[in-house]
Amino acid sequence: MINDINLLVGKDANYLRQKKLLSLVRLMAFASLGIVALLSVIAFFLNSQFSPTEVKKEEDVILQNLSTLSKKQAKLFIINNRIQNITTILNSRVDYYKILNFIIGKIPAEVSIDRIEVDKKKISLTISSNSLIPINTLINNFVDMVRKKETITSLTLNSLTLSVKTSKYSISLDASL
Amino acid sequence: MNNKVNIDADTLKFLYTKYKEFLVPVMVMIVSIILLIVFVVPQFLIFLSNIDTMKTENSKLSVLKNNLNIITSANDSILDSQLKITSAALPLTKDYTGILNALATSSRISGASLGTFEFQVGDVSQTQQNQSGFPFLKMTLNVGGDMKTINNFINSLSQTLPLSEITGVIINNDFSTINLSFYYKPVPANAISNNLPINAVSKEGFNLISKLSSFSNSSVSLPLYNASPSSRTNPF
Repeated sequence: MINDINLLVGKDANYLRQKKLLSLVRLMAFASLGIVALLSVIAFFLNSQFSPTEVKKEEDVILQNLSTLSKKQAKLFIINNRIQNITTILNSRVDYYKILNFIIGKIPAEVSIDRIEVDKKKISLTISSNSLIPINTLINNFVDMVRKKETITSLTLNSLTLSVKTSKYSISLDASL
Repeated sequence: MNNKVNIDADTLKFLYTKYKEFLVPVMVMIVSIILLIVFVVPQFLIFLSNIDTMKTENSKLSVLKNNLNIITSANDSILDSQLKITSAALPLTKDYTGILNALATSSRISGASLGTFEFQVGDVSQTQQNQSGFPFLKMTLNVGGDMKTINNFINSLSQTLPLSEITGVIINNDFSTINLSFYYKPVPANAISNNLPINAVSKEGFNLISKLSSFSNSSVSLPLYNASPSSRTNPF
């Protein structure tokens, strides 16, 4: 009997299994092709929609416009740069006019100022008077300023001298700003 | 039992005959996998990279658009006035003429008489800078006048251009010595860049410029309106 001539309608189990497997493999092959094709289309679509090329083109146009306005741009930059730096300078400046006015305002009229030396940190005064009373008033005024923390924060009396020749009392004091 | 497998041409022919129907679909799957790895995956990686690039480029574009808007909205003549004032207040280079003008103006206003003065140039190969990083020209000035006059001179000097800062004052009976510094500041090289945001002159900036223009030796009078682009129609 020749095995490949089979007049019977039914197929044997192996043949059926193989056929099913073949169908499955063919299906997987189509599916994989389909998936690759679909993913390719999606990738192409996404890359065309989200390409930075258009953005860069727009940038180039604006940069071209800006290049014709470079002088104006430079002026605006310098102005803002100056404003920032000028503000820093003005905020850090010490107002010597205000300090000197305040100090001089606390000195009685009977006292003459021989010398004032002032910098950012301290003020040194040399004053003289014919009487100790106005000098005492001056010292009290300065002590009061230290107590109230007005302009000066400390006071040091360096010397108190009497000139017999001129009959003048002279004191020198330092105050911290 | 003999476990040896004999692979020869007949065996291969037999296997081919038996499984030839599977050959094409399996080849298709292999090719699909190769296409996926070689083509599709890199395309998605490019997409992800494009997303990041677009974020960066969009923010850059936004800065550029804003810069262009501000620059085109700014009025040329107002900018020129503002530049003149701010450059007079803080020159780009050492402004000896401006300094002498400031001293002469302060002397005239206060009534103080100017004695000798000297600039301390220092090492010409290097720029002196103060603690804030501003280059300055230091000078010592002898001024004649009583205490009130000297104080008025100091006050006048604080309201003249270029900006100066007094670092020390010694007032004697009729004669005084003032140590001061006049500031200048060059613009850093390559400071102007299209990618950096540009701001219009702010309200505080305009107020400062107005204040500077009221200084004694300022030769600029400003128009009465602000150059801010918010007050102007956007041509775009």
